[in-house]
Amino acid sequence: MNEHLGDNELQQYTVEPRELSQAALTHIAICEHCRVKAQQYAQITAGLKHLPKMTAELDLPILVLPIKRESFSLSGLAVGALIFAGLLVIAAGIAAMGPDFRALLSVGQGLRFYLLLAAALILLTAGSASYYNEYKRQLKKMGLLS
Amino acid sequence: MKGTIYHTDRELIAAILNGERHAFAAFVRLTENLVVKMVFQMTGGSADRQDLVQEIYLKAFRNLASFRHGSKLSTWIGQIAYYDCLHYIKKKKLTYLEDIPEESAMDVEPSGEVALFKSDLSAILSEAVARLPPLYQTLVTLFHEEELSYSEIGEITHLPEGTIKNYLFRARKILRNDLLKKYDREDL
Repeated sequence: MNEHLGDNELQQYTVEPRELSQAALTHIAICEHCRVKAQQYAQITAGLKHLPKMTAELDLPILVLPIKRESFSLSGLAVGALIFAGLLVIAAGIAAMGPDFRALLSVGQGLRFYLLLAAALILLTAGSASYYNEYKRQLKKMGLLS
Repeated sequence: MKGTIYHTDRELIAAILNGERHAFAAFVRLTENLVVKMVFQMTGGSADRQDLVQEIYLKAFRNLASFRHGSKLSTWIGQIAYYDCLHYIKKKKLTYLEDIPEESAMDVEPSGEVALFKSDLSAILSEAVARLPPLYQTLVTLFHEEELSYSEIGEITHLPEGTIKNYLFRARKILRNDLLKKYDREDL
């Protein structure tokens, strides 16, 4: 091989020497011109591996990850159970009061008043939990919550 | 937990999906140079680059659960970065693979001196790389810095392996000629 090697072969010598033919390898060994060029490519290849690194200069975990809260979350089953408990309390109240159920509407009726209050609180909790779950579901749908 | 070492991509992904901030920080450290450089090079250092980087990581996080482990995490996020950048380039009508003047790829004879770099190799080479067309810069980063194989680069860019090799040959030839010309001017 008397002609000089092309740039592609010389680059291959530095990047993937095993891909080069024996004739090309021999030529590089004996030809000063090609050896100089190959060494220059080798310097470039080595230099490219160690270019200065770049960073985002952003706090990506803060910007990307959703804020993790210890959130109150109730499953559908729990919401259902709460609603059922609320209805049960009302039913118990009606059974206990009988025809005097209307009297429940007036404040200060002892046990009857507290039964009404408990039912209202249970239903309010169940409603809020159900609303909160729906709100979370919508956020997830919009991709704002994982 | 801070200082935790994740031995596999699976471990790392599971921890991220579990909301562990340090796992996500580790993921960023692993892939940041690749993503930031791709964005910087492909968009020509656009002012929107930080928004783009954030958007890429946000997209990666949202889709992490669907990562199939068929490829490396770096290749996977590289794909996201590549397509987000292409979309941005299209939207902003930027140039990505501009025509390279023939003369810049013409051969420059080797000078008697072998050493191309007398000092500050990284800075000189960085400047030369920055003068390459954006696609060539990206390929150089993926192949030389990130040490991805031709097939992995093909996965990211959807370019045939032969084309990738050819562009890399041209990029290195331009770099060599550029450096030799610079040194001639400075009487090296």
